Amino acid sequence: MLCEHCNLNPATVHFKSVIDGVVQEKHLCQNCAEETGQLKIFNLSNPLGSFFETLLGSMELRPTLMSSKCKACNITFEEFRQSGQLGCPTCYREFREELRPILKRIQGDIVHKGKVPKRAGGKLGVQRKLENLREELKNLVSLEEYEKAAKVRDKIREMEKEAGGESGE
Amino acid sequence: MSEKKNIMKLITPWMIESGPEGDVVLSSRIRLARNLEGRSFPAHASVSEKNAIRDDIKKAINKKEFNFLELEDISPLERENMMESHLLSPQIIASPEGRGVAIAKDQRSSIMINEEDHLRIQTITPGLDLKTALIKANSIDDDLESILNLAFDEQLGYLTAWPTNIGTGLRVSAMVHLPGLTLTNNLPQLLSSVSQLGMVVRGIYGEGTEALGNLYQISNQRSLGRTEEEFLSDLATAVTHIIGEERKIREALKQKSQYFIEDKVFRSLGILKEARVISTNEALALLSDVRLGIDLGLINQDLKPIVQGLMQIIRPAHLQKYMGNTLEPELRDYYRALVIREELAREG
Ligand SMILES: [Zn+2]
Ligand SMILES: [Zn+2]
Repeated sequence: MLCEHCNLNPATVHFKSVIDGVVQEKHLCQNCAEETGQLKIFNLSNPLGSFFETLLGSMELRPTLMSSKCKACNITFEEFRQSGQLGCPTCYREFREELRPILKRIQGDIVHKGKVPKRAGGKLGVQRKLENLREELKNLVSLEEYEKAAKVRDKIREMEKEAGGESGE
Repeated sequence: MSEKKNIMKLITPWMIESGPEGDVVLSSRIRLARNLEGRSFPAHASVSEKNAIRDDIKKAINKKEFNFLELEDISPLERENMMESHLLSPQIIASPEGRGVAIAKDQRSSIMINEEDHLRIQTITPGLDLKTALIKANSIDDDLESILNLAFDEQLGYLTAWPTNIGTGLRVSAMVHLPGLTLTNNLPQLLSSVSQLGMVVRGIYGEGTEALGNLYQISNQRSLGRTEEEFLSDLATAVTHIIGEERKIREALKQKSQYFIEDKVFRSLGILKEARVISTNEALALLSDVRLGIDLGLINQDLKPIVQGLMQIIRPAHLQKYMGNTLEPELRDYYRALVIREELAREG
């Protein structure tokens, strides 16, 4: 049997993986197994390596893509291809279509099923700031830094006044 | 060095505690990767942007629970020490600018700021206890996201610098001690079956193929498409399987090669008790044998916390902190041997 990847060398490495109940078989030569990162797992090192280069090298990409930029952080798709890291959260939206097959290869399923942020918003933020300031005040008093403590106390009073009207706590 | 110090004071408590399945599993860890919306990931952010991100995060962190530190304020030796305690990663200690860490007062949770992602929440529990670690990590995350605007996409989940971490941003891992499987050459076969289950196995210390001290970290490879609990139970299944195999082999070694295994364990203990110069690598290998001897009931159980403590204290930055000053590399092997002798003599 010839290697599925290069079709040149005999396949000596055989993988069977079960992903969500579907059995996938792969037959590769030693070289290609190493190149696609399949063997690295056995070598106990980082399985990523040149994974992205190989992956993207085999994809057909629209010619303008490599130089197209994320509008938020300005990185190009070419930079992503080289480093394997995105530039900012917006990159995922800007390059959504191009990323889809890559994500599918890396992650298998590409729909998030886990935790969703609660986003309670600003009120808790004010409370946390107050808690932290009170903690700071306690520390300053114990260090006998009374001048600094007085400033922090003023800040706390000010914030309490602002928050006071809206919240019962 | 006439004055005797206590290594236990320099070691974080979870490192010497034994938890569920403690004969094979040293610790369980959870890592959640999170990022702020509207900011570049750390690798693409300027120092001033990193400083601004750090300031935003600093304000959101609960100071009653965490000590917040800016990395520039920590000495290089102390940073290395924190890396050896798994509180910081090797990447982050190399360039401290704009980075930070928040460490829980019980040292079981920490938050790395501006490592590869803006936030990396980490929790650890002794033994195999992934659930406790996940509950803790989730509560820290809930707390932060009630204040910070985290980058999240309905389809792709939490957005991270590496596409390998998107979705849950979760890495579940267990640190396991596998002397039996390693000694009998059964590890490669087992690792291939584990990798088919979507897990990655890495040596804990050392680079590449060497796994010093027979310690391995088993973790999930994917992070998207399943719930946190599902990733967790997948890993627990794989680890439970490995524990079973390791125990079977240890029992067989004890039954069928009793003299061989006793010789190996006590020979290693003998070297540790008498050596005058010892490298980190040799010490880790010998301590692994002694640990196996304890778990097989050949050596008194009381020695276990000392052996676990030594596995940590013999690493370069810990050793120097223990000795109270920086040591030239040539001198470290001498002092390492000295510390090991003194600690082992303590238990008679
Ligand atoms: Zn090939
Ligand atoms: Zn971007």
